[in-house]
Formats: sequence, structure tokens, C-alpha cells
Amino acid sequence: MISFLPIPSYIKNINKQVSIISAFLNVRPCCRILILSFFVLFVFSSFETKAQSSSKLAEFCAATAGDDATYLKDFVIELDAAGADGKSPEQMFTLLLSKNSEYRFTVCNAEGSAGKAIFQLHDISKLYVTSYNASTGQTYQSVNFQCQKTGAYHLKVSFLDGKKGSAVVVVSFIRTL
Amino acid sequence: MYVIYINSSLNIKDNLNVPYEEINKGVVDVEEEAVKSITENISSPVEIAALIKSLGVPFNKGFLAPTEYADNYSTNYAQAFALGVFSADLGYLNMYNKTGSVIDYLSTIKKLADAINVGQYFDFATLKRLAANSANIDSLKYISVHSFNQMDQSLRQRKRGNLSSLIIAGAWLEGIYITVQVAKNNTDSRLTDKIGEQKIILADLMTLLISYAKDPIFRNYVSEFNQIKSKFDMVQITFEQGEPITIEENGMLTVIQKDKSIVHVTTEQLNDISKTIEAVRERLIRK
Repeated sequence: MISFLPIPSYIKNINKQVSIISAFLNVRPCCRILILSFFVLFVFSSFETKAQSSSKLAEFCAATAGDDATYLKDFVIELDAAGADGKSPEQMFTLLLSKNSEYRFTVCNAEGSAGKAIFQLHDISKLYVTSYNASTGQTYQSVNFQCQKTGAYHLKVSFLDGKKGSAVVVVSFIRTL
Repeated sequence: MYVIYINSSLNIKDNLNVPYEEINKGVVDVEEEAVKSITENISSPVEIAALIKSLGVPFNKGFLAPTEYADNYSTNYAQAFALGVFSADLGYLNMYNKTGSVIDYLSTIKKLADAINVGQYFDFATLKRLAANSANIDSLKYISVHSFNQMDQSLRQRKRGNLSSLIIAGAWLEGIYITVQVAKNNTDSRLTDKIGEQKIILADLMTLLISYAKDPIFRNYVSEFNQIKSKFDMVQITFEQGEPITIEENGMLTVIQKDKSIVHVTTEQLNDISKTIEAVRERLIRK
């Protein structure tokens, strides 16, 4: 009777993990060290590669912002596709902007990103900037914001149509007003 | 953040039968969240330097902190704070294209960054090469600021947000110090606004610093910054509402904000702020 019951998937996964560990323990100690070293190297190099690629994208995006722009900060965005509820995931950052300053917000999508990143800038009471015009469908890579009120602002980034994606938003200083 | 402060003043360690490590672990987690949102809030010295330059004020090397003090900083706290001070100076030098003086500041920053184990994010060789030619000023500006952002991020990820907050505090103090020096001989309202609006920024900075005040050495920094804050308490900031205007020119979208923040500060208050900033900076950079 019992043998006809379906095996739950998490037990199957545990079995798989146990067999990997057993196979690992059966190899010679010197080989074990070698395998472990490769594993550690793989894990760390993938972290580093990710950091380097977002750093490269930020550098590229800062250059895209224009000759009149002085780089201030970049925000790295990585979001999954929308879930079953259809709601697009979004990432929010808080930044302080100063009166009498003009800023430029520039968005750059990572190579191979399925989604196209769009952003909004708002404070506690009002939406000021949006890089996507829903009525025309037009998107803007850069938007300037002439700030007249010192305070905290929120930068909200998401991907069009709830697609999965990765991108960088660079904030640059343009001029004193 | 206020919960942390109140808890620490109640001295939980003595009154409740909870392992101190557990209490401390919770505090560190909350601090990380707070640090993340607040550090992205602190305005950049680049903007202050740009404002000063736009007013036609000539470069003044006398405003900068002397690099010879760098060897005297014996604690990680003093080194982190000085790193922030010199980073603001670097921003000021870069804004005026003073690539000749930059190398001295770059090597001091590198030394301090190494001392707190974030030297790997400061590509001294590349920065030094860029500083050798004034045509590279844009790259120099980008790599300088980006290196600081990376150092800040690394410190926070390694649960050393206390050092990150001191870098931010040092950069803020040096930025406002240079501003008040310029304001002594220039009455442009944008300078007065820039000084007065620091009340908003300082409030954020104080929240950040207070979260680490359980450390006795750190508490000294909080106490020094509190003196500055007490002077800014007198400054009034009011707000006016307005609807933003959007214009599109050559494919570039520009949004003009019509809300306004208005700074109300008297000459006497400005003098008070100025004197306190000078005294605090003098004490902290000589440590």
C-alpha cells in the first residue's frame, strides 16, 4: 500500500541532496578539497562578476547621462516578473534633493534584460517625474528635475508590463539654479 | 530608530533576563535598514562645491583640512571621520579642476581607506593617472564619487555602518564648513538657503549617529554634532505648494518644481551656526 503513495517533491529533493553529499564523501580527501575550492571559487566569482557587471553598467549609464552631468549616485535594480496577481514588482529608493539644484535621472537596462525599466520620482504628497507616458506609450531614458524644495524624495523603479529585468538608474547633478 | 534610542537609555541589559547578544543583534539589524535609507539621503559635497563655483567665488586652499593631520588618527572612528572630511575636500578640488593638488588628497584618502579596510574600492593608481591630466577631470570626478559609494556600501554590508556613518558625518561637516567660510564674504541668498536647509539634512544625520551612541567613543561625535544641531534648531523652514511644470526640449524632458522650501534665518543665527561649525570641525579634525 505504502509503496503506491506518491513521494512528495521535497522528499525527492532531499534524496537527491543526500546522494550528492554521499558521492562527495566517497571521493578521495585531496579531490574533496579540490572540488570544494572550485565550488567556493565559483560562488565568489559569480558574486564578483555580478558586482562588476552592475558597476560597468553604472559607468556606462553615467557616461550616457551627458557631458553636462556630474555623477552623484547609482541604484541597481533587479526584479522578478509580475506574480499571479499581475502586479509589477517595484524597487524604491529614498534620496535627499536640494533646493536650487537641477538633477538628471538616467535609466539604463542591462544587456539581456527582458523588461524595460521605468521610474517615477515623488515625495510624500506628489508625483513629480515619470519616465513613461502611459497615454502615448513613450519612454524617456533621461528626465531632468529642477528642485525647489529641499527634502526626501522617493525613486520608484519597475519594469514595463511586469517583465523580469535588471537595470541601473544614475542620478547626476546638472547645475545650480 | 527612536525605539532603539529609548531602549538603550532604559538599559535593557541590566533589567531584563535576555542575552545581551540577542538584544544587540536586533539593534544591528534595525541600524542597517536605517543606515541604508539615510545614507542615500545625505546630499553630496559636489552640489555645495558647484554652488560655490557658480557664484564666481575663487578657489581657496585655506578652506581645506590639512593632510598632515592624517598620521595622527589612531582609531578607526577618527580615520573614518577624516576620510569623509578629505572626500569633501576632494570634491571641492575636483570642481575647481585643481588636479595639481588632488594627488596629495588622493594619497591621504587611500591611506585612511586602507586603515579601515576599504582601500580596495579606491583605485589609487587610476585616480592618480587621471589627476595627472586636467582633460580627465570628468573621469576623475566619476571614479572618486563612485569609489566612495562602493566604500559606503561595503562597510554597511559588513555590518560596519558605524564607520560608514562617520564618513558621511565628516563629509557633511567639511561641506558645510566650506559653505560658511564662503558666506562670510558673500551674501547671495542661495548660500544662506544652503546653510539653513542643512537643518533638514542634519536631522537625518543625527538619527543615524544616535543609533550608534551606545559606544562611548562614538558618543563623543554625537555630542559634538548635537552642539551644531542646537544652533540649527533656531532656523525656520516653511513650505509653499505649487503644481510642477513639464517641458520637452530636443527630446529631453524637464520637470520644474513649483513647490518651494523657504529658509528663515537671521544674520545672528548664521554667525552662531558658523562659529559652532568652526569649533566642532577644529576639535574633530585634530583628533
